[in-house]
Amino acid sequence: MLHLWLGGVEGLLQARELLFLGLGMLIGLFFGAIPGLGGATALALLTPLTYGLDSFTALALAGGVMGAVPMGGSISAILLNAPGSAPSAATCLDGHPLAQQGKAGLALGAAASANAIGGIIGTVSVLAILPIAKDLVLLFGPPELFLLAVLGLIVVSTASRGKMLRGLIAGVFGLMISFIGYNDVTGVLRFTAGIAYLWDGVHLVPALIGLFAVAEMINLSVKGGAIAKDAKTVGITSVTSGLLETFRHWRTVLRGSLIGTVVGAIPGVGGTVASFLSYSLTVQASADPESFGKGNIQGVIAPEAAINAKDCSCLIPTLAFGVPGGVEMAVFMGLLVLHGMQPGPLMLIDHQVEIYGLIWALTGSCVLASFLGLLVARPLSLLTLIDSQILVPVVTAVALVGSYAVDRNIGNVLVTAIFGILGYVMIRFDYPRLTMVVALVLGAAAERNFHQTTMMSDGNLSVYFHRKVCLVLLAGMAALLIAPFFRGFRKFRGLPK
Amino acid sequence: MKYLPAASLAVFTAIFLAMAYGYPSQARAFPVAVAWVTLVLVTLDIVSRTETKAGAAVLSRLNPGTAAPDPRPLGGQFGAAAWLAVFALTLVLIGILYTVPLYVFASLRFRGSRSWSTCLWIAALVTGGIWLLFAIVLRLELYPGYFFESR
Repeated sequence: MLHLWLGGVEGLLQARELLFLGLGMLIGLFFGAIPGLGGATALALLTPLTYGLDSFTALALAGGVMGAVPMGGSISAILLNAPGSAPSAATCLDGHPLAQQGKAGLALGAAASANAIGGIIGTVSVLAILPIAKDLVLLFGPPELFLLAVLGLIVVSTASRGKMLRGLIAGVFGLMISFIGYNDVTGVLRFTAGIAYLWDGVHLVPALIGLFAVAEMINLSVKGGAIAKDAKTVGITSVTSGLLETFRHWRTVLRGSLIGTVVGAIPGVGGTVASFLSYSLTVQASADPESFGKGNIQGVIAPEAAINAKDCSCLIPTLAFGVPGGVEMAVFMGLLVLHGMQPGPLMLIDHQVEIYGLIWALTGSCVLASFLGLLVARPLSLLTLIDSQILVPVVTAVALVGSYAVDRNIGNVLVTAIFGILGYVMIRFDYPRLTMVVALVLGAAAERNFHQTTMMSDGNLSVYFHRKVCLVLLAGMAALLIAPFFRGFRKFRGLPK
Repeated sequence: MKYLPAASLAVFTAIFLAMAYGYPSQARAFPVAVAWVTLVLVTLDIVSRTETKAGAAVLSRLNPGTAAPDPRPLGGQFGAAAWLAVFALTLVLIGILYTVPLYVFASLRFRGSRSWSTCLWIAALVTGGIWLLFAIVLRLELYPGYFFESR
């Protein structure tokens, strides 16, 4: 095994491979930071350009892109509340309030270090898991995937402390929106009102750009001033203190990385679930859950660690089964096929050195991008001092054009605008946007897996109690639902939290 | 005003439910279940906003941490939403390359009260940046607008 790992490192440590890795990292940082673009767009644009490269160099370039996108996404999520890609939306929840308090440097420093450490932990986990990957992925069938989606929603709803009812309402509203479009199990078009654009459902990335970036711009426009409330503090906040915070909260980093690794290994679940699940579980585990959403540094560390760890483990279903872990991986599969590598079990045998080279490229890029992020954190944090009257039209214009660029569909612009107004209403009336995002991501998959489970069990719901992983997931749900009452009971009895 | 979000969602859910019952049983099973749950939750939300004993009980158990919105002039909020709506619609009608400079310029001039020269150079910079990134680097065709689209 060791000689394969070293073979991957050796292949990567060539001048040409390092050059393309660095180039990929810069492209990934840039694409990650622009709302609506992200890793999938970058890879889609680069794939045809790699035709003339050998497969190892092409994988170094792709690894560079994929490893750096999360850091780029964190920069725009923290500074502008505009997630560069969907998983970074979780970073907005506490990263942007920190920027508003003039602590953008702290948040960016913590995000960069959590990114790097998460990536390394993810790599170590993948190197350990890869030999047994096949057995792990096969444990998850439709019943497990359905329960996993329900578990995700419960985790997030119970994390909305003090506003559980509104959290649940936002969640079920998100589910209703996720039902719009063509249902792939029944073949029925639902709730489209005759609008062809809605046949594919409400597109996720334009909706997220609206809910976060545009809603924040409306809010800023009404409030006036700049993002950072106190200009004096922006220059003082140290980036290195963000780095230290990450080490201080090592449990959060470890938990986030492990969540990212596990979720990333499950096909079709994706980074958004990993980052939000990590965030929610950190809120659950915290002694001070009320501080989340108001600028708690752990709210930045948890999703960032999960996102980068997920990037590595996403390779498991993609390479081992040819089942992409997300959109980015689907595009990446195209690049593999272009270079004569057919994803599937045989790939784990025929292209082992390339696979390990890719894993190292991804890790190297994520660590290098984090260093670069740390270097530019301080100058970038000055962006939060720009007056809203200048910032609002500029960011709104880039956000709406970016949402069009996702799949060159002008309908995306209208979706972004509608979700922008909806997001502002949710901010004003104190409805958590977190549960809505998770419902939008999981809704269609939850319904599909529910139908598949019903079909495979002839409508017998006891199937959920006959499978080991299902029982573990059900126990997790029960524990999460009981935990708040237990905490309340301890509070009532005057016991420590 | 405090009932507006919950009441709007109740209306939306009722329409959603009415549409759902028009689909075959398997296709509507999950959406109908979710919609009924929504109606129950929205009813609880409405009750929690009433100044009654039941309202106080629901609020204290399920929504204790929610805060009333800070007072803001309605005109300013509608104005901000209207600027966004007009921008989005104009993008659809006359395309990206005409709308972006117009919107940035108008927004800076009429909402930001900036000087003509500042508005002009920022509008030119933003449009140039968008054109360079999307049209040149990414080779994306910038949407020409409904009126200018070749049919």
